[in-house]
Amino acid sequence: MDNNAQADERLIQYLDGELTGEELTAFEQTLANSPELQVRLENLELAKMAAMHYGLRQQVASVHHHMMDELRGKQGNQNSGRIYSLLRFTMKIAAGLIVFMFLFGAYEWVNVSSAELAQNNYQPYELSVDRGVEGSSVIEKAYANHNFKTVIAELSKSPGPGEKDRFLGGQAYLSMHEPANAIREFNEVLLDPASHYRDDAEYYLALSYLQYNEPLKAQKLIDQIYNDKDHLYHDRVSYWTVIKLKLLILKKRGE
Amino acid sequence: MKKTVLHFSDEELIDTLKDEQVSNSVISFLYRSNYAVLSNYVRQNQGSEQDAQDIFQEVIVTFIEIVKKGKFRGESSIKTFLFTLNKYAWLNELKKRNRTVLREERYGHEMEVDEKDVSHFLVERDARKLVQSLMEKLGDACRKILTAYYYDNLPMKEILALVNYENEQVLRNKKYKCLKSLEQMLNADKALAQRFKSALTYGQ
Repeated sequence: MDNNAQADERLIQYLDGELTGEELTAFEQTLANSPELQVRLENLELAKMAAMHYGLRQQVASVHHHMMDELRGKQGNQNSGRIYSLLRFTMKIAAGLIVFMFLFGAYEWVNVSSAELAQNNYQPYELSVDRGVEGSSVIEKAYANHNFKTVIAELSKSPGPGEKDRFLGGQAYLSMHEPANAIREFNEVLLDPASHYRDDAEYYLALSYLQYNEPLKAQKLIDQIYNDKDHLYHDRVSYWTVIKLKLLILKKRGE
Repeated sequence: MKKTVLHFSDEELIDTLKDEQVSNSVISFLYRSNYAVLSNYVRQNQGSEQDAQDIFQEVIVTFIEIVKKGKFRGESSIKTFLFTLNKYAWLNELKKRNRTVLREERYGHEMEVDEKDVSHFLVERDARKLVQSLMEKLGDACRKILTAYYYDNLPMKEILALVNYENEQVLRNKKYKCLKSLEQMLNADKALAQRFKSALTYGQ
């Protein structure tokens, strides 16, 4: 081993803290008096620092991989947590709606009836009569005065009542809560396909069936009016009426 | 088994980092406490996820070395210090990529005094990267021996178990040769050697 190599070995021993006691003291004295040795020591110290720097980088890189897995997992959990919270919130609203709809449906189920549907959709037919005008029949005048008993009596007496008298008779029976007779009169009106009172008769016939507790027969007419936008009574039949009628039919089937 | 997650105050963290050995739990704590915010800064400023990770690793290494060299003055919280390091490491990287000339000019002028104090730690980041590549050139056995001995402080007996050598004396000779090789690589160019020194001592 040459002198340089020997000096390097000593320098490394010193760098590594392997010199002790007299050996250390002697070397420190030599070092203090040799700028060349000091430079060589500095160079070796730089190499040691580089190794330490590399070691730290390696350690951080190793922890980095673990931490990325951990942090990605946490982020995933946070995202799924957020999704879960949103889902839970949506489910709560949906459950609330379902409960509300169930309770509302149950309420409607209990309360829906033919009489209630007939009552809620009934508006008395208003007859416009120019008083004193020639040509108004007794039935028309009696109906205009809401004298329904007279209407019925006059209709019974009449040998061949016209479509208008029959229609007003049907209205009078409906007002007097005699749906069977009302049904008969409205059906008579509907026998004429060109009747002027066709649309009116269909609507009030449906109400008469409801009053007579025959919702299935009423449903056919109500659906027809609901689906025909040109029908005179289309606006009086709401979607809700159609639904309630279906509910009523279901209820009747279950009875 | 449930993993124990340690928490450190700034003071405890600095004391722990000054210990000879840096524990993985301290590095993990730095990740848990800072990665989200720091990586977000990089991603929001034209950086990719990979950029964010690389810069964060560099920031952690730099911070630990600054503390070990006794250069962390504690004038700001560790969080703020790391954020500033991360910010300037990334801006420096962007500048190198010539993507933000205007931003850089602005940042140079608007930098606060305490931020300048932080940014000077990053002046020789290229030299530190060069040290890393020189270590890579050194060869696997030499890297293992030198890091095990100087960074992990393992005794020769334990290092012998990591590498395939006949006995401790052979290992000792190999370590000597490895250190000399590294020293020669680092000091091949005087100007560069000065930069390496400055980079690894943070301007000491």
